[in-house]
Parts: sequence; C-alpha cells; structure tokens
Amino acid sequence: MRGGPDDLKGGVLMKASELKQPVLQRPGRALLLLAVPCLVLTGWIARNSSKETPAARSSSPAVGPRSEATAPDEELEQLKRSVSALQQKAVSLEGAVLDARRAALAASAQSAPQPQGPPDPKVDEEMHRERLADLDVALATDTGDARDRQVAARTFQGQLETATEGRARVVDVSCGTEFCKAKLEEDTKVAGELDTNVLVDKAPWVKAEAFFDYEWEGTLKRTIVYAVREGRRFPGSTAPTEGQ
Amino acid sequence: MNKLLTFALPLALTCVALPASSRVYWHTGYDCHHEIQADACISYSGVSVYNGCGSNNAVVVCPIDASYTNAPTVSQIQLVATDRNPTFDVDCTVQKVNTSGTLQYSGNMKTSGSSLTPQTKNLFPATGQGLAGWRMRCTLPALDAGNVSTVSHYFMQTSE
Repeated sequence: MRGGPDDLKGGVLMKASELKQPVLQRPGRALLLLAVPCLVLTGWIARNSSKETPAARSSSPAVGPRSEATAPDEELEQLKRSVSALQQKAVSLEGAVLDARRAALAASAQSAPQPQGPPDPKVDEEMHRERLADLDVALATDTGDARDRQVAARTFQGQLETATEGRARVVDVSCGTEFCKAKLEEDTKVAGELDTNVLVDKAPWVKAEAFFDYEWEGTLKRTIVYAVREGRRFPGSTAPTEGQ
Repeated sequence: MNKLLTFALPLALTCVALPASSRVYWHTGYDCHHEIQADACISYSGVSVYNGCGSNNAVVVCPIDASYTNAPTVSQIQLVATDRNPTFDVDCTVQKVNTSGTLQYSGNMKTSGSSLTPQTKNLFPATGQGLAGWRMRCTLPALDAGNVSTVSHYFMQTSE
C-alpha cells in the first residue's frame, strides 16, 4: 500500500534532486495532490449516500418541510469541513515530504567529500616507508658487479665523512648498481642534531637525489640515507633517460 | 527516464573524470624568501629573485603548493633560472618533508655555465609522493660584474 514509510523514503531518495523545482512545475505531483483529496471526498459522498437508503428514510422519524430544507445545508457544511480538513492534511503532508527531503539532502551533504585538510601523517609516512622498503629489496637483490659496488661504497663513505666533518660516524655503507645506502650515527647530546641540509649540500651523491629515514635511541640519532650514484637513477624513477 | 538521468549520468561523468588528472602549481621567484634570518642581499626584480650582493652566495626558500583529492604523484618539477655567474650556479634542491618537518627526500636542479638567457631544468622525483610538504631551496650566486643570476619561475606537476 502506498504511503507507507518505505514508499515515502523511496520517493524522497528518488526525487531529492528535484527539491528546487516548484511543485506546480511538476504535473505528476500536482495531479497527485489534487487527486487524493478528490478521491477521499468522492468516497465519503458515496458512503453517506449509501446510508440514505429508502429503508433508512422510512425508519427515520417523520420530518417536516423545515427538516427537509435543513439536511442539505448540514451536509454541505460537513462537506466543506471535510474538504478543509483534507486540504490541511495535504498541506501538512507536503510539508512533511519537504522536511524529509531536506533531511535527506543534509545527510548526503555530510557524507559528501569534505574539503581537504593537511595530509594524514600516517598515510604520508606509510608511503615513504613503502618506497624505502622497495629500495631495500632492490639493494638486497642487486646482482651487479661486486667490485664496482665496493668501489662505489668507498666513494660514498668518503663523501659522507667529509660532509659530516666528524660530527657523525658512518657505521654502514652498501651500494647497488644504481644507488647506495648508508647509516650515520650521532650523539645529539654532544653537539645537537646535524643539519641535514649540510649533508645534502656537501655530499654530491646525496645532493643529486636522496631519500632519508631516521631512528632514535635515547639521544643517539641514526640517519639512514639512500643516495643515487652519479649518472644513475633510482629504481622506478620516471626520469627520461637523458635526465635534464 | 528521470531515474536514468539521475543515476546513470553522474555515474558516467564520474567514470569519465576518473582517469588521471594533472595539476600544475606555478610560482615566480617573487614567492621565494630568505631561509632563516633576514638577508639584505635578497632582492626582487619584476617576478624574479636574485642575490644583490657582490660577495657571498645567498640562500632562498621557495614554496611549492600542493592540493589533492587522492594521493597524488609528482611527475615533474621545473625550474627556469638565469645564471650569469661563470663560477657559481643557481643551485636548487627540491625537498619533501613530513608533517613534523623532517626531510624525507631531496633532489637537485642546477644551472650550468653562464649565459644571458634563461635555462630550463627539470627534476623527475624518484618519490611519487605528492602530498604536501614540498619546497625548493636555492643558492643564488653573487653579482658578477654587475650581472645578476635569478630564479624567475618554477612549477610542480602532479597527477592523480
């Protein structure tokens, strides 16, 4: 049966986009609004007419000419009251439908994408970690020339030692065909943190392109650097072959 | 028909819009500023930034904007600079920091030689992360015989 909560809800959802359209500009809806009171009114008249059977009339007390004249007036008044009541109901129903639509729109607005705020630190960090994990895999599975990699590791270690000027210890260096990884340790209690910009500016391979990661153990800071070798590219780089 | 338009049309438009969208964040050298302490050598001419002193190099930090709907990928960063110093270059390091300000990635672009015409340099970062936190740090050579070296503009391009 139409008019139940489900139907109403379905109707609201389906027509929510038409909220701004005036009611009178929707012929189907206007007809429906007119048809419902008319049908109810017709039914009410038919019901009352059927009660006025000849038997009923004969069983009713005798009425004089005055009573005969009053009855249609009362019926007319009743009809007017009924029509008025139905109109009020129609108006209140229309209001309820509009309220429901507004509520549906408000709900959909809440679920719509919100303006972007600052990046989620977790997402940012996860993406960075994934990239570093990829580089670790690439380094571990590199099958390039072992001697070339050793020479590269010594070169990189020298660059880092020069750049840090003794403020950090280069504790581990390994190189692949394309890039190197190094771990630097510094006690921040002694002279504060080493400015990473110094490392970038003074170590040529770090300057060219590098990734960084950090570990803390009390005041001991470890900086892990992945730096591309001269003339090479990181795995997965989208740079054209000739670079610049 | 109405239902078809209500549901099918937005769906179709969404599907059309889903393929990668590219965004470019363009800046002029005028947006660059001193790194830590005010530096009287840093000067501006039109849209360019330059080192107006004749002795030392100057460092400027240049902002790079980012906006996104989903996690974007940085496809390219481009620098247009004029290097009129035969000894030093306009040397720009692009940096990506996390929300704590810690350096995660750096890549370099720098001019070469010396000429009166602008040089265009490109960086295709090995990191795909296009979330916020990008900036560019440039060293500007000192005046050379009255000639200035400038950063005139730069941009970052992302795709989603």
